[in-house]
Amino acid sequence: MLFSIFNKNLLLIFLALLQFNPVIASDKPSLSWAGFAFLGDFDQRNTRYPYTSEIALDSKNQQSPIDETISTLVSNFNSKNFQLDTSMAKNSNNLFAGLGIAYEDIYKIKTGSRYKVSYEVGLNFMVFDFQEKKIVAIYPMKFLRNEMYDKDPTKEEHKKIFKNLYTGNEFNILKESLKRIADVKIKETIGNYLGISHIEFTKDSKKYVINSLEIDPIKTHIAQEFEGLLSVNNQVPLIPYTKGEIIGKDMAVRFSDREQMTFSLPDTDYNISILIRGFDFKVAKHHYGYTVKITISASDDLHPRLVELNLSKNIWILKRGSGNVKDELSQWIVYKEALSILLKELTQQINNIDKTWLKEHSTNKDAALQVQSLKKLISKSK
Amino acid sequence: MKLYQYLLIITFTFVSAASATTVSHKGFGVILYEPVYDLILDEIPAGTEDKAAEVGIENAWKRYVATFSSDRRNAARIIMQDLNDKKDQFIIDKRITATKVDKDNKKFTSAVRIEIDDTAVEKFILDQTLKGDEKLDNNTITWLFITRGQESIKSFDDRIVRINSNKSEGLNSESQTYTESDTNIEASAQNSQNTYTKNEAGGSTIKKSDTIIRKILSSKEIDSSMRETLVNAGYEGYMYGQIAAEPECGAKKSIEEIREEFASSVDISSETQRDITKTAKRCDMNYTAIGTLDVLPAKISKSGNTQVNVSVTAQVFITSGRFARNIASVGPVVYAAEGVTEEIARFNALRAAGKAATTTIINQLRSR
Repeated sequence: MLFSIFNKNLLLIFLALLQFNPVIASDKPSLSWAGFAFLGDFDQRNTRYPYTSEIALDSKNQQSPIDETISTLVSNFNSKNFQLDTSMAKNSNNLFAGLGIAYEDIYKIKTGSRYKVSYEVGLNFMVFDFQEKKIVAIYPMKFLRNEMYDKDPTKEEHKKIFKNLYTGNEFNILKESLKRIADVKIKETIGNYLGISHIEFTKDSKKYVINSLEIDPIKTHIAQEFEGLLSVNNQVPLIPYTKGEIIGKDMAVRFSDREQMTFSLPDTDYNISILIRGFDFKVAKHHYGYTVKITISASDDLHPRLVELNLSKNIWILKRGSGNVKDELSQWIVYKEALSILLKELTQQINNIDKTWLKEHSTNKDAALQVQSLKKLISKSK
Repeated sequence: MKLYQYLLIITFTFVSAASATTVSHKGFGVILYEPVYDLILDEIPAGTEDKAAEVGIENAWKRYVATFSSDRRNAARIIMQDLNDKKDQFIIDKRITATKVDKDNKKFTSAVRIEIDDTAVEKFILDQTLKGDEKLDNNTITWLFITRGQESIKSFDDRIVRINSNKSEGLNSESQTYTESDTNIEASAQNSQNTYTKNEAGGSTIKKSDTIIRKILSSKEIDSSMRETLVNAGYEGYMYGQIAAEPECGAKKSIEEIREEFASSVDISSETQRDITKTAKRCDMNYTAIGTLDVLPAKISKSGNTQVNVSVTAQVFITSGRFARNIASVGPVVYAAEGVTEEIARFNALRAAGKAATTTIINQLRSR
């Protein structure tokens, strides 16, 4: 009897708690968290993201190490701009968010007797409308970690690094992604869209790309890197470039719990193209100089040549740190590094124009005006 | 995981709500303006951008209407003016993507993108094109759609016959030898004289069509999607099974017998077709739709999902008169859908096919 009364009281207390559970009012938009995902054709996982897919699909555990880490991070997520909900309670507008991997890459360069290995991961923070099966916004992000090895690293060593990137405490790219996105004012409705639509190498510049590497994956890689930098440094969503991720106007998204969905992507209103015009090699007493020359073009629906900005960048590398100058691959990696620096600096310039930098890096007299035009396109796409 | 749970909840939340399909289109608007002079500067008059945007919206809408299927265009023909006048109801978002000023030619151009609720447009067309007699409760329709899958496919190798002949002419005697096996015939000829030699090569390939054994699948997906579309269009819809089960309608063949017939042959006999239309007439059905949905073998799509294609063929008869008359037809048209599993892909494809086939039928009825 006593037990039954006690139970009844417990039930009443529980119901009362349900009834009066305080609801914290918030003006911040709320996104339901959908999880970690693989973007694009999942059949290509062994070429696009072999290590990440192996770690994420680790079937030994009920929840993969990546899901486990990200679940904890999302529960503690705090942003002044938006909320990430792990429950469906108040998601009236069907907006979901997820973090998807677009690509991973490993670059190896032999410097003396040691190996410098760069690990690169491209993650996209996606906002999508579940009911309409539409992508609302994508914020691409790129992460790079360099490691030095005394001997040629094995596959197991690579996997360990990738696992650390996802689950470690030192430089956790999941944590870093959420930290970066927390500062962004998320795009919640369909608006105007920006995208990298084209990338080309001139015939002359193609010579510098090592023959054994196919030019198309390199183009894709550069475009993705640029959109990642553009997004992070200007807090703007972009329609992703990758051909493998997008089939027609659709983007396949496979969550690590094997749920797979296809979302339609909006058309771009503003397009940016990259032309790699050429590379130069200079020799100084202790250094080698690596120069990259590019043209960034942008267009909207009425102005096919809104921006045509010529840029160049030279980086000086100590001779002993440049690798073997006869080794095409290691030289290409240095040229690529010069290109990465140029793209990074340009994306920073858009937000904060420095005329001295422009004068040093561009031959266009109206470079500042052109960067201003780029800035306007970015503002319209936010 | 989380997403799976969310999907379930969302499925329950929206199970009864019609999902909206939106489409976006772009248009350009050009306005010639008279400059306003402010001291020595010529200014664009206030409101020019809005006017150009309005023209852009108008043109984007025209582009949208131009994408209508011929069925929808025919159905909407008589109410097009009304649809155009009410376009603001269906445009859920409009944005200026770019503007351009040509001061020399005093021309202002706006590029506009609009987002349209296509589902609402479809509903509007169906509501507005109800025929006079249909408005007077003469809008009953019954349908019998059979969903078939392929239980097994027996493929045959090509039968190839090759003939090689070597003839020599010129003298009286000629001898030829032939060897023949199951798939190959060889012929050779020899002659005692060497005056004239002719080589001939030929043969034939006989292809035998695959033998497909069909099985009948559940039609509940198409039944529910047809009912939903018909009700939305203002029809009173009945599954043929309901009609055939009523003794007063006098059906000679049960629904099970008809299904069996569909399973064993490509089409039903004219006798069965007549029985269906007569039964429908006896129970006051104005229209009768008979069709098949053939579920084709599943395959893996580029996205990694399973993709299922469904081929639809249908005929619609007006059964209010003395004799049933064919007044509309669909297909064969193939609809594809993807899903994580074959079952989900098939469900999605059948629903899409059912909705599209019904919409085509209604549009054809409305455009008569």
